[in-house]
Amino acid sequence: MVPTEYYVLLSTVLFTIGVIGVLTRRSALVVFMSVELMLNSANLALVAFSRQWNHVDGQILTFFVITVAAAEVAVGLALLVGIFRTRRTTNVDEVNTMRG
Amino acid sequence: MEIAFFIITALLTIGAAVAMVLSHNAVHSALWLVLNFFGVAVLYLLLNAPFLAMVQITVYAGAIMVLFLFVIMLLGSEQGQEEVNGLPWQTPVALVMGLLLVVMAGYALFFPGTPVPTTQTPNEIGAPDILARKLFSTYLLPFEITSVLLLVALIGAVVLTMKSREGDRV
Amino acid sequence: MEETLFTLIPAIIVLPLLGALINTFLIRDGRRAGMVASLACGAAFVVGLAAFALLAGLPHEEQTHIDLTLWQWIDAGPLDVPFGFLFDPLSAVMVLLITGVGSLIHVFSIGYMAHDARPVRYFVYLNLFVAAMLILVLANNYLLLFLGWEGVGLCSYLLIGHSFERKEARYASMKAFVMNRIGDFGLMLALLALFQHFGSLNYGVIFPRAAELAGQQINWVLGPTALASAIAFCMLIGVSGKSAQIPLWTWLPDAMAGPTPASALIHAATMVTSGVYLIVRSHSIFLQTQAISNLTVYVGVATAFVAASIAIGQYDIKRVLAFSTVSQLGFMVAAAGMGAYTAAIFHLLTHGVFKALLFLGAGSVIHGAHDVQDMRRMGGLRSAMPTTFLTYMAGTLALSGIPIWAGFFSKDEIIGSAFHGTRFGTYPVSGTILIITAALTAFYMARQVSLVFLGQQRDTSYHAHESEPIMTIPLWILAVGSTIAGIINFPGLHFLDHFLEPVFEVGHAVQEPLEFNIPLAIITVVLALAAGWVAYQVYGKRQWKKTFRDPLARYLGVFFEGFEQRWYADDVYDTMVVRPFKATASFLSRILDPLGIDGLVNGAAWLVGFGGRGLRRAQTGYVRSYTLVFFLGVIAVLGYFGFATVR
Repeated sequence: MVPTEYYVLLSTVLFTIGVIGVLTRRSALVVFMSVELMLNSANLALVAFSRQWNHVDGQILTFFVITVAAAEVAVGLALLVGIFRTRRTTNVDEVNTMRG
Repeated sequence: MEIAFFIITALLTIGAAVAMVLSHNAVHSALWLVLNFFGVAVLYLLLNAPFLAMVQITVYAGAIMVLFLFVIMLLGSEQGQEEVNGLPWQTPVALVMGLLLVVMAGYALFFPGTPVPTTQTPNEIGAPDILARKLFSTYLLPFEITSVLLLVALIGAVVLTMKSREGDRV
Repeated sequence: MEETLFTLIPAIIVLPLLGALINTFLIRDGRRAGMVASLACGAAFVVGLAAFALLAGLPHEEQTHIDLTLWQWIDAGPLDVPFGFLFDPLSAVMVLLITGVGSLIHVFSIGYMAHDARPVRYFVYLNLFVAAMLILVLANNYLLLFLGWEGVGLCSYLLIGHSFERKEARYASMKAFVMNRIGDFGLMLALLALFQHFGSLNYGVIFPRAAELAGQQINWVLGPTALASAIAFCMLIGVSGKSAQIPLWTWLPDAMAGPTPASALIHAATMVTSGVYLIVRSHSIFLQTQAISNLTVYVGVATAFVAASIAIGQYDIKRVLAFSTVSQLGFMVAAAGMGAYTAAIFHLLTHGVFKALLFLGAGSVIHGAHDVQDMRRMGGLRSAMPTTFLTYMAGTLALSGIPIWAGFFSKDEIIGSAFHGTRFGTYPVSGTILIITAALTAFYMARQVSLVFLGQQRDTSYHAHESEPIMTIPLWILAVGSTIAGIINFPGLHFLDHFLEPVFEVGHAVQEPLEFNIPLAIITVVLALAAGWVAYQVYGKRQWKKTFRDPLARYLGVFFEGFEQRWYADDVYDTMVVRPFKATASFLSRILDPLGIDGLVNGAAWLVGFGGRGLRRAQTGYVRSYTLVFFLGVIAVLGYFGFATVR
């Protein structure tokens, strides 16, 4: 029996790696993948908590998160394609028109 | 035995995640991420959630990552999208803050102020039929709303990528 | 009978308003506008005459009860003001004077304003003026009176500034308006005090209870005072503004910058009489305070004397008449202060007629002499303008108080009241000064007639001509009026005394009709004749150059200088009030406004701009840096929940 703490710590580590990916990579696709990684880490923690409290709700929530992630990926990638069409790049640092 | 299996899988997952972030080729990143998703799926099995493990593999590792690879190759942006770096000092800051987060979480987890009840005996809550009953009774409404959300995402993706005709441009 | 009155009274006011509306929206032609305006005013006179006849036919005690409320004007908590009219004998005679003399002035204006640049506008203002004055005298409460009071103030401003291309006209209209505003403020204070005590501004509530005011004390700027005195004092300020009494009198002589018929309207029939009307209307309040009534007498007498002395030293034909008006108003105010209310109204009526005649006559002279106003450039106009001369003589005799002409009876009644005594006692000193003033009046009028009409024309650069009939006919009518107007309160008959009696019964102010004092009359007449003769000897006998210095300057020295310079009243006001005021305004506009107010506003704007310029550096446009901040926030929140709350 692996203690829940281990799972949560693993989840934190994965989440942190995802955050570092978002903060350091400039390729919009990799940034997006890092976001997916963060979502996964959160799912892992949810499922672990679900076992800890012997409750199915955590798994149900994970199920929903996966669905929403699918929708998000579809729209997000469509946006990326749109940006690429006009800017010819997927580097997020080059998309800074909103600079004050 | 179980612990050892967990540790091997966890290290594999972390390693895949680190490799994903470090890869210079976006296709490699995607493939590392697939490996990571498989690791997480295995962990779901360890956590008595077989249904979610299957969903993880089919939806995430299958559908979503295929979409990613498809877009990467469509745009031809496997490499060379990192030339411009507007925030060179951000990398060390991000690393320090990430470390801080992990340390904080570890400290909070292993030195809790109030005792946490020990892990209970394994159970069968993750079985597909239990999940399905719950999903189609208590969570029926969110389930239906999710379907609408997927439809909206579908339409949105189509609209965003559609080639606008001349004169339609706003 | 009363129902007929109730339909007639609103019509009196509506007719001039209608004329103004028609002229504003439909008429472009000056002559036609004049016709409409004259017709409107004339119709108001006819209606007023009918109403007057109906009122005179009513029984004595009912004459003060024609009180008609058209609608509720203001209904706000305790303040309850009807838009209502009171048609009593006092209002009736005022209405007749205003519409009657007003109509003649309107007709005269058709001829006088024929070459004006904006005749339609002039006639609109003229009609409005009459309407406002009618509201003033017909109101059945003080607030509605105040509406008319402000209305005539506004219209006088518009009329005086009619030829606003001329600087002095603009300045004079501003001066009149500001002076009037000062007086209005006093009246407003009086109204507030009345409302505070009675909870109403209606005559019907206030006058029967006016005796309460004498016992009440009020603490204000002048220390504890009887409420009646405080109210009467504030009213006196208002009176001195409107009726051009000391200290707010300097606007009236300047008001002649307006067209001459407008001056006639302001000086004779309307506006300036409203102050006298206010005192007479509020006699119930003035009767409660001996002190302020005495003050009113002194103000009136001082004004009468000072203004008459100034009139001697003026060269402008209209300015002499303007000061004469101020002087005559002093007579009326003094009479009203003494409690000789009928005498005041009597003189108001006769003066309204003969002063209108004199002003219109002066207008005719100016018109015929091609806009020459300086009497030194006139002379010998008798032959060129025989009609104007004849009618002018009637006005002069009336104003000088020569028997059988109207002024003799009314002025004598005032002087007689001063000596004979009223409920406040006798005023021998004031009466003596008034007799001297009457003699001065005869002197400056004789001087004017001598300089304008007698002798030879000194400045021959223009060719004087008689005015057209549309101007001379009103002169004839007014000349006849000036000659016979004395009959309305002829000694022994006392028509006006008896007619006005019901009004004064309310305040228990009925005076026994004054018996004719023959020795006094002889003294005043002899003095007036002597003064006139002296003036004729000085001015009428010799041939002057056109830039002559008044011969009196030789004999009177500094005093004549004082007459000529209007006793330096304007200069004193200029130094004491106008210049400090301007300096303050200039300080505010040049220093406080740009540095203080603008500094504050611009400073606030600069501060926001500065903050924005600083903060915009945070908006790098890099999504990643926003995410970093977001992450920082996540760590902070987690840290808080993980360590601060649980442990």
